[in-house]
Amino acid sequence: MRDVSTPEEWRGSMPGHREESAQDVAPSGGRFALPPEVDEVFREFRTCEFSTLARDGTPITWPLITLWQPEEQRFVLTTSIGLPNKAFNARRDGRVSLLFSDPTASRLDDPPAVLVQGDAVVPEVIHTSPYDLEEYWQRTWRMQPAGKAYGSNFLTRSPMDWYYMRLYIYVRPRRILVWPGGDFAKQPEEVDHVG
Amino acid sequence: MWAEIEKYLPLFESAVLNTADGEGYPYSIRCRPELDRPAEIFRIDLLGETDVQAGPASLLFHNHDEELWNQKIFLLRGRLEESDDGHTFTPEKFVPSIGTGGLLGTVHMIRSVRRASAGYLGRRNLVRPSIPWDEIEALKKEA
Repeated sequence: MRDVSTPEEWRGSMPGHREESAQDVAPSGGRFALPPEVDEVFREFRTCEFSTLARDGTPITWPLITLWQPEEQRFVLTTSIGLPNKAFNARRDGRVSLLFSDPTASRLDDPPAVLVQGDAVVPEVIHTSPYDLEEYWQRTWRMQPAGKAYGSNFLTRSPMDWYYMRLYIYVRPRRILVWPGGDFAKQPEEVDHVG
Repeated sequence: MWAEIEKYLPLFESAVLNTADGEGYPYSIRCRPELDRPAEIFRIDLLGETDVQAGPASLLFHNHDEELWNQKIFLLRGRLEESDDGHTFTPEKFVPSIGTGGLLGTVHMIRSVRRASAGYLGRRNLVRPSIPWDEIEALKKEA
């Protein structure tokens, strides 16, 4: 059994816990009529540039791996509790964005650039098991095989344990802008909602 | 700050400019900022019509290889201004990250994240959790 002090805080790592549902994690932004090439960008780009707002209003942006969950119409990103500022920012101000503008390693031919603006929720649950978000970790290790080295031997486990203490950041898109061919000189096209 | 900027800037072909739009949401576009060293600013040609707003802003520089490794990342915090001559970004702070802090920076970062994680748990009166390494290794094998 894992070392936990507050069951409510740690329910994400406990057997039988109730995972955060779509209803818990962010207001609905509606369903988008995603063009196939945008869906491909969400699935194949290695990183997005994820922005949160600092207390003084400065957008703070870092490249992050994302998981697009189309059925839930949301993105899931994660951050270690050792790098919590983006989580703190998003909890204070849920307005965030994800820019997909670097196609390196995506193997897509002439993909668009895509900006997703949305609303984020960051629950307090700290996840330590990769099975809490299996698809995310499978994707991460497939795209970044050298990352498997983190904590892979006994000597690195104690210094690297923070890497696997993860907060989940759920983002509901509210507006999606597309620059065909990744050409920012063109006017972006806005993706419509369904219905 | 300027020594670091001049050292690492040649590693990047472009950057991501991050501002806010009229509704206060972050708004990012990729651009090719040109350093005007004497003026201590970047000149940015926003090629298309955008929702970019002058004010607090940042420039993210990052790249990686085909296996999402050998990453190089740094962020500049500052302000975006708009004039008749176009947009300029004035950096106020260099924020190093992977590949741009040197060996000492890497050591400092690892110590810093360990301290930060301890602080995160401590402020919530939580014991440091044990990591299910067996589950991690099992899933790595599947991946």
